[in-house]
Amino acid sequence: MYRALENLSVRRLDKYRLEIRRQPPMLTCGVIYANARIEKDLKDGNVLRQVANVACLPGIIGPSLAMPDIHWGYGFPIGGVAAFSLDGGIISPGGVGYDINCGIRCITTRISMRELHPGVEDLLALLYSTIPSGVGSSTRGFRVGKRDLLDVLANGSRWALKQGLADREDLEAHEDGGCMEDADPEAVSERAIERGLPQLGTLGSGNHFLEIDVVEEIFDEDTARIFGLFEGQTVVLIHSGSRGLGHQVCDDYVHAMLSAGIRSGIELPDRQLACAPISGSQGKAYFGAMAAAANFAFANRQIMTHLVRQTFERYFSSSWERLGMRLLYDCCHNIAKKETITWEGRRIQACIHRKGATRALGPGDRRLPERFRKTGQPVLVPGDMGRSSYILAGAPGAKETFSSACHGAGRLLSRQQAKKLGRGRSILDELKGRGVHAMAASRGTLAEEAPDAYKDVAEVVSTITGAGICRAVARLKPLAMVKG
Amino acid sequence: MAYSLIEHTADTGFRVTAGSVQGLFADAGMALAGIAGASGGRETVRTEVTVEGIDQADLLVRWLQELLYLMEVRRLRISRLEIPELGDTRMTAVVKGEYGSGPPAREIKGVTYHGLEIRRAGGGCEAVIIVDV
Repeated sequence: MYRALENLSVRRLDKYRLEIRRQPPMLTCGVIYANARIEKDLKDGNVLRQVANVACLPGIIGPSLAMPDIHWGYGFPIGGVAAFSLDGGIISPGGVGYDINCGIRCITTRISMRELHPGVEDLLALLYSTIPSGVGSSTRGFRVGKRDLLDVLANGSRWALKQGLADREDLEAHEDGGCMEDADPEAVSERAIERGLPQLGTLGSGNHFLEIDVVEEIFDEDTARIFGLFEGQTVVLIHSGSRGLGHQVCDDYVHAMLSAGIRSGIELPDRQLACAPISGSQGKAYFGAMAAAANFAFANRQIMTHLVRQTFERYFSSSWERLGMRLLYDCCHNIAKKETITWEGRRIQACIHRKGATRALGPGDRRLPERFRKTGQPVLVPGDMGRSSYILAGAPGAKETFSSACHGAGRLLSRQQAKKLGRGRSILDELKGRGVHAMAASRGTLAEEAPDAYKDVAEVVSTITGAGICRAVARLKPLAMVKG
Repeated sequence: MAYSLIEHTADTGFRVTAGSVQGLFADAGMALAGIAGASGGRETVRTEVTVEGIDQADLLVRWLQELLYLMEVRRLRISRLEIPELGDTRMTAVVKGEYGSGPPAREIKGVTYHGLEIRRAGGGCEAVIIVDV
């Protein structure tokens, strides 16, 4: 059942790309986007083996890819991207992960840092008290019943629109308009629904956050204008996912596919890569359940957007529309999507798995709303708590990654290592020294998420832009954050 | 109970060693509860859990997932675990503890199969388990 891949051969293709040579039972090679600095952090063979393991899965098209924020995960590496043919390929819950449609969105404003700065701590405290965060955080202010939840699973942010928690322009700024059409709430277990019911509209814990940033530097004035960005501007980032509902969906289907796979004699390099033919009944059921969990996550982030807007309205005594609180874009991180790709001159219907990676549609892609057709998709790349985050735009070169890019800085240290480094230090004070105010439900989380636990996001961004996958548009500096 | 945390970049892993496979299952459960911050307390609740799987490694993951559910959704703090029955594809456990007022201190999203193996050596056994946090 378990076939380890040893002695992988890695060679540098160019300044931004490494190749893992194909060796049996790999069906294709691996390509990792990494400059020389990032390559140094790949010394641990686990992560290379994970890229190679994905290359063994049936129906893979093109290489098994990894973005520059790659690090050791389970099953797929974090930063892993792979395309599987709808005709003979597989779908793997482990290639999506437990936090289905964990994702990030950016809300722009007309508020300058100067207007915000004197009271940023007060605004942060208001946000902290309004947005439920932390372990097992549960919905505050409103409750949804099971019937509403099924509506959320079927309709995602369209449900939020019906409830007055979103406007039409918000939906345009989501991938898939905020609703994956193939969602099948009936494929979601009762236990998943039970876990999701009290958690709609909550941030959660771990690396989830809500952050106020200032636009520190614009790299591309024309694109920034279309994105609604200007230097000195205040923006808000929200990073969260599908909470316990998504975790349970992943769990349910990994188990089911593992059992079925063993009965049918499928050989896997890692059990966490349990998979099923995407055109088969189990693959279809998982896709429907995963899409329903993705819709939960869209609605979850939209509810928090509504709460952020309400909080800003109270703080600035003005409507969110007057404050210009427009959703720039909502990017999905852990997801599988049916997309048409072009590979070696052929147009192929494929299921693209992105695990800790984001979609990055290039200019001209008809899936983009009209206003982004010339620029390419806004791609949000959050850094760590103390350093910068970036806003990029999908570039024509993204075709080679099936329109995918990095989703963040990527962890460098394990959580224990980060905690050890944090002993005797006050991360809160250190952040304050950098001009960043933070409130967290848990001090332990703060230590685990300390800036030195992450790669330098600038290296990650220079790799993805250098490789021609994205273009840099703006750099953000964090001012204040709520950590889960 | 003997467990130690292992380094894992994205998530959290722990190694459990025990004199028997039953002991390994019980200790892995207590380790999980310890990592989640949901161990200890009185024994006011007793609940029986039955799990089926394709082999013992699968049983171990499914058993730990059941405990996660009890901790997160039922808010159970776990003080003692007993494994009266453990076969190759089916197990029964007795979970003792008390209901807490809130969720566990730490969120664990899932128990993974990544690299999981139950190794038997020197009259005892060992497993390394990676959990998504």
